Amino acid sequence: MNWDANLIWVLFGSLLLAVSAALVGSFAVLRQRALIGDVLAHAALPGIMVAFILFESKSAGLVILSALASSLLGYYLIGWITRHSKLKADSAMAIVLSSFFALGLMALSYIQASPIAHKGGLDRVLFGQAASMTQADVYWLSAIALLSLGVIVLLFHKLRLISFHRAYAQTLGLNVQGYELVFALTLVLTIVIGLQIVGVILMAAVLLVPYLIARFWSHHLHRLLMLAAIAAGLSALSATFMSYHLPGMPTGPWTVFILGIFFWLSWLLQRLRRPRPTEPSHYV
Amino acid sequence: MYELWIYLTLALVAASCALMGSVLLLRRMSMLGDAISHSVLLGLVLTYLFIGYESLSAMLLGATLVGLFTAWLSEWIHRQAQLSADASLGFVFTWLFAIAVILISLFAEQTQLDQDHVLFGEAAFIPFTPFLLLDLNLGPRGFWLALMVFLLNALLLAIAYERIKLASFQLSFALSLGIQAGVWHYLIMGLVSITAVSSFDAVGAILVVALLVLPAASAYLVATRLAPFFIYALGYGQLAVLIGLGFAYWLDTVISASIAAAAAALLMLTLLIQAWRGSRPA
Repeated sequence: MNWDANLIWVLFGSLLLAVSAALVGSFAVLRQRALIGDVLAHAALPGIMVAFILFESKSAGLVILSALASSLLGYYLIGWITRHSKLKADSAMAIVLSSFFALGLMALSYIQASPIAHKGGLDRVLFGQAASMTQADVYWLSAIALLSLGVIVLLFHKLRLISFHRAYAQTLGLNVQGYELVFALTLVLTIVIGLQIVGVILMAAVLLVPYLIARFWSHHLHRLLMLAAIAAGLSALSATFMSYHLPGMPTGPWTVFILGIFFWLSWLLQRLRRPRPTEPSHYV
Repeated sequence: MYELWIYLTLALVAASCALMGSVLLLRRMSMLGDAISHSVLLGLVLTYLFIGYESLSAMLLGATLVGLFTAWLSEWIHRQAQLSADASLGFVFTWLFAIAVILISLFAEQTQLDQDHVLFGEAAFIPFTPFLLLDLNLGPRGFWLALMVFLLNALLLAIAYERIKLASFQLSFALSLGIQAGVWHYLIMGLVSITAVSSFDAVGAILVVALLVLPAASAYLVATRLAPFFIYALGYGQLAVLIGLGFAYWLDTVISASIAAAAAALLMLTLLIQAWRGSRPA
């Protein structure tokens, strides 16, 4: 077995990412927006591609900034469409997802057909390839993952209150919209760095499934988040390990596959322990 | 001649998608279309692995079964594990899609599929798989498949028009009249799966969702009655194919992505015009 320094870096990066994605994603699901991650991950694609066409660079900072801008645009477009037309929220989400993804793929195919240099590897954001991360990528990724983790830890009580009792939080005089903006930024940042490892198409699962797994084990928010983080970390570690040693194995699909196994096992064990599941309690 | 076959096939694919997408939008299931178009890939991969590329009917059957399985499984998890409907859907389709991509990378040689094919389809290669009947070359296979699926969708809509109308707008009234909503639900899911799989070669697994969602949403903005809604959706789909082919030729981009981007541009244009004209009642 080959424990080179790069492997340890990559494993560290994917562990951090998975943990922060699980925590941020759990709050997104708690706020009844289970598929928002899917939409925002797809919405990042055109930003990355257009930035590459404009600046002909794949530096981690540029990729993150452009993906961030593009995802945020998608996030606001969902709200704009539902406010300014008779389309409902679910249609608006499907519209933003497919439009942005189509634009991104069109730009990608434009890049592949054009004579720009160093264009290889751009398509790894589609399915994720942890093994091809450089050390600079890992620095960026770790910094942002720590930032997201910090935001979630610092704002834990506020976010919990807003997730379960939004109206009550407002009457308490909390700046609910401000916190929601901070949370949206954190969500988008987490998604953007996740693209390197899991890829656009399966990012949704890494945000969503750890929460679903943990829900079978505990209804205490603290414990639930802890379990979600552990499940996500384990599957990301094993998937990264696998794609590092078997060339050509995409990291994203393996992460999601292992998460799925955890889901089925947890459900089975929970059914054996207790015949019927109960709703999550609001007070934790 | 090659260009004509490509155009005709894409036009039929866009028409089928516009019709099924409209039905999905009415039933507020646009994201289910997204889910099915992803998970149908697993059906394709499994049939490629076990039966081979030549058998068209096996491919359709496999993909339809997986599509129905997706709809059923997410409904089942939603009920049994008391998860919200979109959470269980999000779990099911990502998991099935992940399995499909893993199988593709494990058995790439046997499946003749690769990740690019999944993403973009192979519209430019439509003319190269001929449909032979008694040694008579009847043109590309993809064209006949698209035509068959379009006729099937049009037939269902013609037969079930009144039922779909009732079940979409007044579900409880429809149930009280004895309309079997469950049967129609799975029939529609089956047709969405067939539409998605038949569009796979032309536009790839993921861009199908753009053709399902975008023309239907544009038509929804414009139409005030049900019958014109379907007509507008067909119109938007056809316009997107023409503009998209123009883009693809001009910028040398992949045909499928260009058509989807054209559909998105048409929708944005419609939205902006409507917002600009203010909230006048349509």
